[in-house]
Order: sequence, then C-alpha cells, then structure tokens
Amino acid sequence: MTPRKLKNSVMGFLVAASAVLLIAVLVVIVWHIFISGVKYLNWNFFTKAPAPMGESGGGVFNAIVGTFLITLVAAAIGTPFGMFAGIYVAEHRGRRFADVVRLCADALQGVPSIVIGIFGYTFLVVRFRSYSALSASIALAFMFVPTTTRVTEEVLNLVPSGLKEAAYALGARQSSVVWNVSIKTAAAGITSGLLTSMARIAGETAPLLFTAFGSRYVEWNMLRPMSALPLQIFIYAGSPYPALQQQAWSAAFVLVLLILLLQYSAKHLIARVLRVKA
Amino acid sequence: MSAAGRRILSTALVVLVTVGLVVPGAHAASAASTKTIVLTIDSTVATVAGSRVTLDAAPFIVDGRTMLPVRFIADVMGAGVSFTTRANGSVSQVNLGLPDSPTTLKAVTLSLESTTAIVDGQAVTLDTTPVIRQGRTFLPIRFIAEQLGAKVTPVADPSTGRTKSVTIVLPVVSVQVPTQMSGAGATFPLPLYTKMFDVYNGSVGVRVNYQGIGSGGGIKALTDKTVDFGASDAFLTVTETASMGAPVLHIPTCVGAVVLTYSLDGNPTLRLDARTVSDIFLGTITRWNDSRIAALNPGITLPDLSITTVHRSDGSGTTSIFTNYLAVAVPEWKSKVGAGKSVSWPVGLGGKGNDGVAGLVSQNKGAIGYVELVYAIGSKLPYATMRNSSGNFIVASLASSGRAAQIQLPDDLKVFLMNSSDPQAYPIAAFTWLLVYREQKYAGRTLGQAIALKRLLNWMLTTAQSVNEGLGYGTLPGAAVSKAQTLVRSMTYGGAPIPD
Repeated sequence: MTPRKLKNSVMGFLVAASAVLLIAVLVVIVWHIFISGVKYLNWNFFTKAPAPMGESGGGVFNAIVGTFLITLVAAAIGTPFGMFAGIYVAEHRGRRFADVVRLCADALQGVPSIVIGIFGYTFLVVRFRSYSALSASIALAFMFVPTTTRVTEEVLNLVPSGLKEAAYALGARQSSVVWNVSIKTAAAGITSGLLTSMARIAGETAPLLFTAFGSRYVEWNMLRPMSALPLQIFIYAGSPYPALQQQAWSAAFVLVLLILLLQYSAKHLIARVLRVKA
Repeated sequence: MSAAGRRILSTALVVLVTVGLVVPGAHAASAASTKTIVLTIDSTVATVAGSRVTLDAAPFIVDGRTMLPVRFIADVMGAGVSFTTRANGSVSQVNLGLPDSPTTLKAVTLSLESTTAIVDGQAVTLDTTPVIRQGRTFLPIRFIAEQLGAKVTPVADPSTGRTKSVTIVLPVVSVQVPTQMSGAGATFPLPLYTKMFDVYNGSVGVRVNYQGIGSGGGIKALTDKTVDFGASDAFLTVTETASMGAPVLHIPTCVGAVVLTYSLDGNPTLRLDARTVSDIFLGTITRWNDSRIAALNPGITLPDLSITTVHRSDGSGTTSIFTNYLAVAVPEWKSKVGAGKSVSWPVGLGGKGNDGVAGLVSQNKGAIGYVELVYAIGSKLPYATMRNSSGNFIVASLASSGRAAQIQLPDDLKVFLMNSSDPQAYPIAAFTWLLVYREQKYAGRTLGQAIALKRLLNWMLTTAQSVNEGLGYGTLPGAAVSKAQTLVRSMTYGGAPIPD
C-alpha cells in the first residue's frame, strides 16, 4: 500500500469511527434512559402530583404542567423579540448596528445558563420577594431570544434573492417584501427555529433552580413557585428513596422524548423550506 | 406564513393568553359585621354569637371592673397574646395584639405593676391592673373591648343593683389568611417536612411548598426575604445573623442523627467511638484491621484492607453536625480540623450531597462516610453503633437521638446536642431548625401571612410531632416544645403579638 493510500484509509476510518461514535453515544443514552425509565411509567406517573417522600405512588403531573407552562410562556415572551431582531439583522446585512445585534445575540447565547439563573434570582425573585414560574420564564426567555434571532436570520438568508428582487421589481415596499415574501417563504423555517429553541430551554435546569424553585403541588398560577421536569429529576436523583430515583429516570425519559419530538418537528419543518429553495 | 406554522403559533398564543389570565382570585373582605358576647359574672358559661361557650375561668368584678381570663380574649376576641417575664419566671407584662382592621394589629401592653398601659406606643392610664388568680391572668374587659371598637353594656341585677352580666358587641374583623406558603433550606429534614406539609394540606387546606436547597441556601433565601421561612441544620453564625438585619428565631422541629456508613464484606454492624472515628478521618488509622478498631469490635474479623474516608464536598448541615461532634468529643480534632458546614479535610474523597457520599462509599470497598440516619435507612446502608459520653454503645434511632435533647436547654434553643450527657442518647444528634423573623412585618408581608406562619409553626411543634417517629426522626422532648412555643409566641407583627 502506498503511503498516500494508507493515509486515505486511516483518515477514512477515523471519520467513519467518529460518526459511529456520535450515533452510538446518542443510542446508548436514549436506550439507557428508555430501559431505566419506561418500566416505572404508568397512568399515575402522568396524572398525579408527588406523594410524600418515602411513600409509594404519586407522579410528576406537577412537573409536566410546569415544563409546558414555563416553556410556552418563555417562548411567548421571547418570540417577538427574537424574531424581530432576526428580521432586522437579515434585512440590514452589512449595517453596523445589525452586526452589533448579531454579535450581542452570539454573546448572549454563550452566557452559561447558571448565570442567567442568578440574574433571574437577583433581578426578579429578590425584587418581587417571591420565587415564581414567571421569573423562570423570563430567565429562559433570555436564552430563547438569541437562538431565535440567529435562526430567524439564517432562515431568512435562505430565501432566494430572486424572489425578493421579483417583488421589488413589481414595486412592492420593503415592509411588504419582508412580510409577504421573506417571512411567508421562511415561515416553516422560523417555526422550526422556535421549536429548536424551545427544545433547548425545556431541558434547562440551572435557571429554574433559582427562579421556579419547584413545588410539590400542581400549580397553574405563573406567579407562584412551580416545578418542571428537569428540576424534578434533579431533586429525585439525589433523594434517599429508590422509588424516587426510579421516577427520576422515568421523568428523564419523558423529558428526552419531549425534546426529541420538538427537534423532530423542527427538522420536518425545515425540510420544507429547503424544498422551496430547491 | 404557512398554514401549519400559523396554526401552531396561534394555538400557542391562545394557550398563553389563557394561562396569563389565571391569577389568584383574592377573596373580597367580608362586610363589617358584629358578634355579640354575653358574659355572666362568676359563671364559666358565656354566650358567643348565640351559642354557649365554656370559659376556663369565670369572669369576676374587682373594684367595679370586670376581669376576664386572657385565654378567652385570645380565643374568642382573636387577640395575639404574649407575656413578658421577670428573671424568676413570673409575669410582669401582658402584651396583646388586637386585630383592629383586617391588615393591622393594635399593640397593647398591660403592666402588672402599674396602671399605665401602652397602646400603640402611647401611655394610657387605667384604674386597674391585670390580676393573676390561680395561675391565670385576668384582664379588665371594658378597656380591651373598647380598644377593639366594641360596645360594652353592663346589665345590673334589679334586686341587688350589682352587675350581673356584661354584653359586648364586637366588630368582626376577618383577616385574610393565605393558603400558600413557601420555605427552603436543609435537605436533612426534607422527607419529614414533605410528609408534614402533606398532612397539613389535607387537614387544614394550606399548601406549604418546601424545597430542600441546603441549609446555606435556606439562610440565603430568608436573608433575601424570598420565602416565609428558612430551614437549617446549623444555627446562624454571627456573620449570618448580622446580614439578616433583624432578629431571627430558631424553632426546632425534630432531632436528627448522623451515622457512619461503610462498605465491608458481610455488612457487619461495627462499634466505633469518637476517638477512633476522629483518627480514621484524620488519616492516622489507615487499615480496617487496625488494633484500635479491633479493640472495639471483639468477635468481628476485620479485613486487611485500607480505609477510604468519604466526606461532603458541598457546604452541609450534616458536616456541621459531624464535625461539631468530633470537635466536642476529641480535642485533637478541634485543633487540627475544627468544625463547620465545610472544613478542610486532611484525607479522603468528597461527594456531593448525602447521595454522593453514599454512592462513593458503596462503590469503594473499605470506604467509610457519614450520612443522615434517614438516608441510611432509606438506602438500606449499614451503620455503626456509637459509644456515647457515658460509655454505652448506642444504635442510632429515633428514640436514641430524641434522648440527646434531654438536656438543660437554653431559651433560644440554639444549642448543640452532640455528645449528650444522657446515658441512652446517640451521640451524633442535633436539632434541625426552622428560621423565621421575629418581627413579621417586613418586605410587604401581610398580617394574614404572619398568622398563617404562626399557625404552621405551632402545628409543627404539637400535632405534627407524631409524624416524626414514622419517618425515623426523633420527636422533640416536652421541654424543647414548650420553649419553642414560647419563641413562637414572641413573634410580632408591627410590634404586637400575632393572633393564633
């Protein structure tokens, strides 16, 4: 074998091995969570609030409700800001301020979630003298905005310039082009971005520790402390009771399932945008 | 925007708008109404709003003034009561918190030594003082009732012309007591508190949300005033007390024990003493078959295996209890390592939380670590029998840890129970406390919140103590309960005692 061929096969092997490793890690994690979690899933797990520690039974309905409410409210707060910033950046490419906005979004994306949590605690929880789901949503919105901004921008950049130019050629105003051409074309992509961002914040634990605080009760009021799946997993995994540790696995399974579902829908939607481009 | 995308977004928005509207419906304060109380002099039977009530002592007349037992004023008229005592324990002042509106208390202090009373800081002269008869305190009813805006009408006996009965028309003040409370802190009593609060929710309908974020976290949360109460396994340090900015009460709820757990073949029940444990954690005993361990455990064959010690890597109340025990019992430990929520360990591995320590111990053959008793029981870990200060080997249990509190307790209950002098006490035991501000009117807290908190504390000290035993926590001895109740009674709202 010539040195050139040897180098080729070694590199080929390394590339393939890395790819297999990546898949293997995901499969092992999902498989392990599935095996550990699925056997304790039952109807009570989804419909009941936790039993007192050390007693059997009970579920994580409080955390399921909490994850949905906190994530949806965070998305509702973050979507307008993220989307509009993304549109601005995409439409004013090359402008100095747009570059600043993009840089800030990237910087904010890099802020560790624990820092966002402390920020939420200091400026929301301490200020209003109460832990609350709303402060958790606001903290998560800070993580939601930059990802949404970047995704919106990237998706809008995918819109064929020919389409926009055609609209301009027909005498459309910029607002009309942005709304009727760019956004309409990229809608599925933007929604996909929103879903990806939601998947990202749904799994966050650190910001919730300082803001949502957790609750053993099923809570619908955003102004009160509330539980969420990642919080419940965190608490249960460290508890002395095997029953709760098992529930932590089940909760992890539900959370992973939820996030994979969001990611899958996102992928499904983005595929449609790519079809339009083609 | 595509139809699918629009549908998803609009559904999300509808959900959010609905959620946003779910805000607690505050109950409107009930309209002003009155309650008629008829008291018969020298009779323990009274009528309150038409129904018969039995008093613990009959009202009587002295110098033309009708005197009423203080208990009745608290129970029927809704007053908060506390007593100021002299050094010998006798009562010198009666402090009342009279609810004169749904959000405020009128602070009234009556002195047993003078006829000058203090009403909201103003001196008022009475023509009588409170009277103590047969251990009960009696107060002049007209003065108290009038402070509450009540109309007092004495009814004379036509034959003798003396007062036969007194009719009081009392305005009813309904304070809105919240049904939600939150607390945070120690993980050690977490299983106990979740069970207690579950029972409380079931019987009283008040939800208490407690989160075990660690003793340090609980102290921080109370300092930041983000919770109704904090919880800690270690009492506040001087610095922590200073940063609280106001006096904080330490209300004990149970006695807990810390046990030494280990990983050895056959799970033998070892006997250890403070000296040996100290030497193990100082790294001077390094092997399980060391003669010092063997001397305590005749009949048990110890392996020729090196000892790995495991301690907490995070700041922990459990570490505080464990190191304070060693510091009290072993002078060498005190000088070399000291005591606190986190110390610099000479040897060993660190694990986060009780679960981290238990995990490291079970994964390393020959390891030894310390965890809370309830954790060891829940996880079915073996734990050592400890020699106490009287030389008896004691198995950690709810009874033996409860015995640790059978000592002379200070009034503020900030006391270590380690190395108790009780001959049947398990030596590594400690109170765990709830922390509350003595003055409850802070950071916009309402009178209702103060009342809710006081009721919860009193409930935890009495009815809820039966929960302790079922879960492996030592119940509070009677002396601790009565001292704790005195502390709870000393809580104020705007300077006035809080009604029960």
